[in-house]
Amino acid sequence: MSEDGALIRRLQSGDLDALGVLYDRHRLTVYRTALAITRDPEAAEDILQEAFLRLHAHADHVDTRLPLPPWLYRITVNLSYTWVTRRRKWWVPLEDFIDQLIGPGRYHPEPIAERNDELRVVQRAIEALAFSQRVVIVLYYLNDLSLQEIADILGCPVGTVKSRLHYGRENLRHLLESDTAASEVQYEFT
Amino acid sequence: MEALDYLIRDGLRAAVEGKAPSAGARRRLLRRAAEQLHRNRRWLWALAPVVPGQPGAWVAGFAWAQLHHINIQLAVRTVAFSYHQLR
Repeated sequence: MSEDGALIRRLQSGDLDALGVLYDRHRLTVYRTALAITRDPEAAEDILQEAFLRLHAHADHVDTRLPLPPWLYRITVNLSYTWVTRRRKWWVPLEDFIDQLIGPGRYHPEPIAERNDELRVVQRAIEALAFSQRVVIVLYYLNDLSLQEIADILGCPVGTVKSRLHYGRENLRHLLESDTAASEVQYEFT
Repeated sequence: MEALDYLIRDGLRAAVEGKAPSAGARRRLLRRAAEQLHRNRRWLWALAPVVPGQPGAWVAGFAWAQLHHINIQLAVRTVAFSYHQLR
């Protein structure tokens, strides 16, 4: 049995120390995945807490013969989805309003290295993707998961994952091109 | 991999690199898990005399359904399910 499997067995018998060890082993993966999807450190920490509380509550249903990370990814994605859909109702209009007040300069408060600037543009473009495409992009590029692993986590066919990845990339390409074009126009007028 | 793939990967990694949950997060998690365990044990203690078998679930479910005027079968299933979840 794997080390995670043995820890889950201990957790099933009510050993909270095992939960602490599992947390130490997987906290960064869960936190950074949630952070990449939500782009909100507080939300990522809440999702991390909730994911491990669910592991505690449902430890009896976790198959100790299987690796734990896919289970944790599935919970992380589901919790992120709940967070994103709830937030959309209240926060996006407020953010739009703040954007209108502050303008595009919000993301460029001071001159920064060109590479960092480029990466920020990519991060913003990923944030603008639809949730289903964003999740696949994060799991594929950040977590280095295969298409099959992503399909298993999301509970959908590999073809669907391929299609979401393809359209996600195309949308990113389009967003990055339009952002570059917009910057060039800005520079022309400044 | 194309240049775009590298850009996406580097952008994502840069966004999370060096980021970690706060120092108190582990302690808070274990406290909440202990509360969860305590709550479950309280429920189990309350349900244990009647639920372990199917007849027990029927007795508890029937009493609950009578008290709250709800569907008996639904109440029995809920009691049995809750008991097995809590264990």
